[in-house]
Amino acid sequence: MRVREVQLEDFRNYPQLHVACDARRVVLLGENGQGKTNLLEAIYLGLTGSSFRTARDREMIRWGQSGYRVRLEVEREDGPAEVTIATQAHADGGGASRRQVRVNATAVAARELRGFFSAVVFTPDTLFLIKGGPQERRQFLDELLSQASSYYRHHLQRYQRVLAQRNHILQQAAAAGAGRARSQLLETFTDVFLESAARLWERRLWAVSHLAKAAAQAYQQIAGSSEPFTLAYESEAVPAATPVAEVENSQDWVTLRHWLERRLEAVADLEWRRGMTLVGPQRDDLRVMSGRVDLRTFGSQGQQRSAVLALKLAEVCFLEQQTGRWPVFLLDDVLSELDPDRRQRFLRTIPSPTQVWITTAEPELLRTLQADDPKGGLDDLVLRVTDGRMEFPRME
Amino acid sequence: MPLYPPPLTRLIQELGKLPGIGPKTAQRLALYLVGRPPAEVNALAGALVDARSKLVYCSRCFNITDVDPCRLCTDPRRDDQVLCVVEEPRDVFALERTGEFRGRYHVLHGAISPMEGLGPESLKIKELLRRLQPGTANSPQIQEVILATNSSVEGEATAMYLARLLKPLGVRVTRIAYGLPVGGDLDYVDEVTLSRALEGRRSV
Repeated sequence: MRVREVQLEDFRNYPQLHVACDARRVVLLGENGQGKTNLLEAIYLGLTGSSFRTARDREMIRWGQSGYRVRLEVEREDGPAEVTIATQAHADGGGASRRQVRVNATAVAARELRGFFSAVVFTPDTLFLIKGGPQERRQFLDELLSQASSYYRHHLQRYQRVLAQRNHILQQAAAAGAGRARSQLLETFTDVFLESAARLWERRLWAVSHLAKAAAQAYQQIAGSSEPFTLAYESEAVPAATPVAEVENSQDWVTLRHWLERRLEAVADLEWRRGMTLVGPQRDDLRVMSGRVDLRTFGSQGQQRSAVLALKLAEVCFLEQQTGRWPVFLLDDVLSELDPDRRQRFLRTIPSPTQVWITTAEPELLRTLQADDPKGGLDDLVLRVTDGRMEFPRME
Repeated sequence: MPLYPPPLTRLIQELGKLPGIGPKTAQRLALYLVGRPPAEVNALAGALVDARSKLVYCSRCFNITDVDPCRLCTDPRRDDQVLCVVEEPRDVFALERTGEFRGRYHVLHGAISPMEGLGPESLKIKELLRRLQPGTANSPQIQEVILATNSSVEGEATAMYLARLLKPLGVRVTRIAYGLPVGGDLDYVDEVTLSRALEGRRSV
């Protein structure tokens, strides 16, 4: 998939922008604060329906204006498509803004965009995927699977709802302090909880088994080492190395449901005291190891960076396998933090059908790109971003 | 100085309390109404007062009715042995429009949602259990209860709760199926609906 044209109106610091970008790699060059990340944000918004920086639509409207408009021309594997997102804030300044999303002039809901396009973004914050808390890694899996399947989105939503209901029941019980008792109400919500939790597990385990292979390969290439890299799903309730069949028509979730049921039974007394659900997908993690080193806590900066790049590359490949479309890969200010060798090896690891957007403040980076592609066959486009405007410098 | 004459403000306020009506729409409706001929407005006001004063909940099934027990509960052509449990009166109307169901109804008036303080005791569940008491000569025993609550988390939980409660009574308990819309092509159906339909498949 490739973004061929970007048009912005009153988006962040762009009053007007219209740029053709039909290239395999697009490099956005410019000082900090000129609008490089804003452009990546607009592309991500157009392809996925949400921003990677904010949940508040209003924040993306240019200062002093009442609305923004983003239009992308996208060449997809299954044909061209045009997407527009336009927001109009309420005149009185309060309440939510009104947003319209269209694909090929047909109105769609923002969340449906994931059925047409996909994008993977990498910002300096993505490093928290490795060194941050478990919720960062759960969110990574949830977003990945949500992009790949509406089935997962559906069950994730149900699961969050039923978890909140179940926690509420336990919280009331704990506050009453009467200790564990038979509760029809809790048993009922536990049944609904098990149903959704097991389906999330089935998909997560299956995704991790796919990601693990791709990520291990990418890690060794980027790190330039033969250290084994392992990615595993870590859950108190799911036995390690649980085999998961291909998900289509699989009944693995029935087994997983059974496991969870037994674990819940074992912690029931504690749940009544603590007033919350103590096992389930909301407490799991991803284990990321290089050799015997747990990279989450003991990885060096370089190892953690390589691991996070490997995971993101695995995400790109996973989405392609699931949707048949290569996602657009957005790299915000990432290459400058890698040493030249890793940088080069990373660039070579990106599958060639992927369109890559790279932002940087360092003109020297262009040399790495050129060295990577001496004949210019890789089809690079360099754009200089200055204060919400765009120029086309020649490659020196 | 107030923006509107007080009677208009009051009308806007009252309309604004209706579900789905925001301040803008309330204002538009109010200005429209005061511009209509008095007879038309009187007819609307009359219909409102009439509906509210004449409609009650049926003491048997808790559907909306103007006679108690309601026509659905007293219709002698309907099957007394099958009872369909729904969340809201509008679900009864939806099922009736299909013309396929010929049993009786029971309206719960909601679904169990602990977060919103809606426990089983705030629904018409005691009343449902009372209806399942052993039959008499003029009201025979109910044989089957169809749980037709929504597929939301709360609707599903309510159905499961009722199933646990009713099965020990020896009555047959069923849950409505989820599946494909009739007349649709498979490839137009979303993945979630299709997966649910696959899970609920049956042998032919």
